[in-house]
Amino acid sequence: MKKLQHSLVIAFIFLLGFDPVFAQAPVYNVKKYGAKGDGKHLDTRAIDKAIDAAATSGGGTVWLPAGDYLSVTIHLKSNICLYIDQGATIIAAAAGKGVQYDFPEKADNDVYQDYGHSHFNNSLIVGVNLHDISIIGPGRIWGKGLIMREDANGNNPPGLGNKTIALKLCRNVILKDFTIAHGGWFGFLLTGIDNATIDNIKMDTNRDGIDLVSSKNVRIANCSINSPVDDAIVLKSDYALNYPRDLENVSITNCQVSGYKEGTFLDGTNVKWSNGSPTGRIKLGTESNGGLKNIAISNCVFDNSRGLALETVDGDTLEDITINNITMRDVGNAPIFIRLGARMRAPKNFRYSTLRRVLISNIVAYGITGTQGAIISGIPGHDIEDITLNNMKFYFNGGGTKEQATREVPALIDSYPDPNRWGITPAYAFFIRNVKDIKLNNIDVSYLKEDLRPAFILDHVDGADFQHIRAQKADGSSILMLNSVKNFNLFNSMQLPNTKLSEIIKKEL
Amino acid sequence: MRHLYRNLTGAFLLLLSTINSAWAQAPVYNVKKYGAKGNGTTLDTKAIDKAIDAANAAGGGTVYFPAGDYLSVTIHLKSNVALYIDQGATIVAATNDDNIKYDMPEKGDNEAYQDYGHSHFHNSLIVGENLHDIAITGPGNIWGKGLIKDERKPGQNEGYGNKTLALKLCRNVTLKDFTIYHGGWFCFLLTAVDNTTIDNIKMDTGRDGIDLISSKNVHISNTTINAPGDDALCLKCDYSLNYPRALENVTITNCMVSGYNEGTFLDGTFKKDGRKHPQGRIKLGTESNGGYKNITISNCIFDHCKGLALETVDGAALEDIAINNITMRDINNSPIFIRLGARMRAPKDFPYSTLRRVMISNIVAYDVTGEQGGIISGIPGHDIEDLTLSNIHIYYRGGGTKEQAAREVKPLIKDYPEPDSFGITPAYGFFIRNVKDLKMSDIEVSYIAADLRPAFHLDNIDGADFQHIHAQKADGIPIFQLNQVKNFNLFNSSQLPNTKLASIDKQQL
Repeated sequence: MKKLQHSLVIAFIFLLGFDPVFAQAPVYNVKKYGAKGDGKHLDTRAIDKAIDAAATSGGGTVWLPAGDYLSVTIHLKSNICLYIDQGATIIAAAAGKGVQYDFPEKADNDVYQDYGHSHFNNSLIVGVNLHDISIIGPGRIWGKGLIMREDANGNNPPGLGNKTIALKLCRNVILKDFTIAHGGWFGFLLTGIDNATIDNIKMDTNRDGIDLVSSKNVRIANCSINSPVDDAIVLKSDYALNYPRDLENVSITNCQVSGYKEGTFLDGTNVKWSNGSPTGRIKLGTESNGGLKNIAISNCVFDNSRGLALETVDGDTLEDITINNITMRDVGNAPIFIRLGARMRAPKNFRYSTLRRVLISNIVAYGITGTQGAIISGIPGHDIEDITLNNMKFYFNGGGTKEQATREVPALIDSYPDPNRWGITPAYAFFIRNVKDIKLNNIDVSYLKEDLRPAFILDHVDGADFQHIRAQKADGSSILMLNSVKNFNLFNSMQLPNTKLSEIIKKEL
Repeated sequence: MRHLYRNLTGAFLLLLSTINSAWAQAPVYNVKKYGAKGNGTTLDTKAIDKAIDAANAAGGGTVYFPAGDYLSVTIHLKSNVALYIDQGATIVAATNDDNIKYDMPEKGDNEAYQDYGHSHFHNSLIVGENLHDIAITGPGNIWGKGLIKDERKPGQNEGYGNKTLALKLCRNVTLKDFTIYHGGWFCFLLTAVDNTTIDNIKMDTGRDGIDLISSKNVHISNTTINAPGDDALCLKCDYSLNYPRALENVTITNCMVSGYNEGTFLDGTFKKDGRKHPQGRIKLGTESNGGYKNITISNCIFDHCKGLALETVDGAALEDIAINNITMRDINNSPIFIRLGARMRAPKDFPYSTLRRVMISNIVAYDVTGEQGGIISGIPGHDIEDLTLSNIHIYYRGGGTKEQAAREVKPLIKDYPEPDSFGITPAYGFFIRNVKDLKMSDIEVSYIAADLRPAFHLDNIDGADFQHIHAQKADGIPIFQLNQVKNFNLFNSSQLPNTKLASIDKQQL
């Protein structure tokens, strides 16, 4: 017995002796650095301390175990992984007396994009000029105290936080597995972020979900973003770095975007939000100074949101885009919006935008607003070029009138490029203007309620190749309305004879 | 005494449970606990192996690398063990010398029918053979610093390491989240590795990135590979097992490949001035004994590299392949290369290869070399069969001459199947030879500088169905050059009348 006891004591001491081993804990537990995780104490310092400790020893994982970590600006460092465990939530504190986020830095440039895009430091989690960083784990970030826009007077008083995660000029970045609720102006603002993977992120937020700006070599997959009042996944190339930088080599797959009432995505009720037109879409634009190049998007789902938007209005080149296999239901505006405009929110003498080489295929959209068809529009003298739309089935709500069919759409040359500015389109399915070389192939459009507008309107189009087109039509309405169209070719479409027109001023088919 | 014993036991259990709950990651096998220094100068191989052995002996577990630089030679994986490379941790391949040696290369089961690199597994930084249920994960790095990337003189290969990770005959494998820099001959050499997921891997390397060989049920996603000196993502079915084994059921999605100067991907400078013809492509081939079957590739991006290559030259059946939604820019050889050849690097009397049932759609390629069009080529008596290309837009640099249009391309029956050996193709868009049943629909080819070659050159084709083709052309230059073509059908192509030809010797359209 004595012997047994002896050996047990030794085992006990031996086990205690493990403590130093565990003390060189493989991870940096924020609680060990003083975080309370009680949702009341500000844990920012403790979290930063854990990050600093890891960074000084070459990097590592800063671990947030289950708990509610109230915080203001957390500062990432290179070679750090934040791991947000299941049951852990980082909560953005409401700014107030003694509770302040980092002040917004003097921006490199804050003229050519909104305040939100121009500043990074005033965020819940910030990283600038870092490399090899990751935020992972199945936990949650709640942007409770973040603001989502300027105050009522249009001011941005310092001390407030407005973004959940802001990264600028970082590389080799992984963001995965966590959830953001109510993320402020942006869930992610990622500007000049190269070699990044964004995987399995859920967001249910009050403004933009993911803003990927002027970044290269980024993989986005398996994300579900609910953002009823602003865009869900947005690719931009703004001027916040004080120089234009291309966004290029970005692929997006297996994602979902929606505009359910905020909070009802994460609570599982998915309440459709029909206050105006929920946003929640995938968009390229608005800010577009650098370039948007070599982008692939596939296998994505839109529900209760706006349609897919590709916009360049501030002087960039939007080119070499392929989009494939998308389903949409309950679409609040143009199911596809392709826009070259001249807002020119850019330095003087910046050249006009170009938009070309876009291939979109295999799209099913059902329950699309009756007010707008797809819109593809350049501006006079600056055509969109080389667009191919292939294998699409659109089901519009319909209800359009003859009066609407004759509506003149204003030129909107320098206006903000949202489809809603266009009002009711005079075609129920496609309104196409100022385009050179467009192909529509295997396109089938129909409506739920009778619509008296033509299916397609082409206005100032040079090179239109329509093949295998089918459009539901009311008696007395036409399928195609052509205004100032050159090199038009329609064939293989059983409702109409093959038709070649080299140049016409006005014609209905 | 009995009482004390009981108390002590209680305390013991309590301590165990306390440690377990307080340090939730206690169950990991920290390599530092097993003696690893992680200082970048001491060889940590033994410690790492010890940690792996301990985990394996306890039924499996996670071997954890905290931040640090772990200099090592051959590390030996075991079943049921995961390596977790934390952020800030780098496994560094040691440079071998008289005292520092990697495992000797085993006598290859077969060394005749593929290069030295593919035939040996043991001489690697991390090796696993005949294992199941293994993983390497975590956001850290592996730097193949001391690995060589090619053969030394005979007799000098001993003691060198030339691969970052070599797995042979393993199943249920997960490789994710980590980064490899300068990975030697192969970053991953995976031969007969079944039921595998490769996700979110970054590579910036001097030769091949991922070589997946003779493996089944493998899913590759969100992976970015920069491999200027060799192929980025390569599927093969060689003879290193000493028997042919089909590679089948492989999916690749949301990946990117490139050929920037080595090292400039991870450091974020993305330099493009290193090589005239960087490789960095997705390829099926070269070694092709076993078969390639049931493969999908979608939503991938190519930048500054060679084009997509599908090759079978050593007896493999290459069949049932679907490729969709790819963008490419700055491509320095044939943007699409489909080759059935008869190199026959295989045992005597091995049957010739077959290549059939390949479907490629929704491709945009811009800034493609003016020297080579897409190349689709079988050999006399061994046609490629049942090939469908649809919705493809390729923009070449152009500049071809009439003399080049008249160029005879050698048969190249036994040659190494590299597009470069075809030289300048006599067509700028597609050079197609020895093919049975080809469908091309919704294809558009154009050039940036004027090109005096025809767009399509067909030679020895039986069954060519072209629909809705558009090709930029210079005055007096045909779109099609047909030599020995049977059952040709062209329709719905606005530049040419519908044309059916039963059998023709030579004709231009």
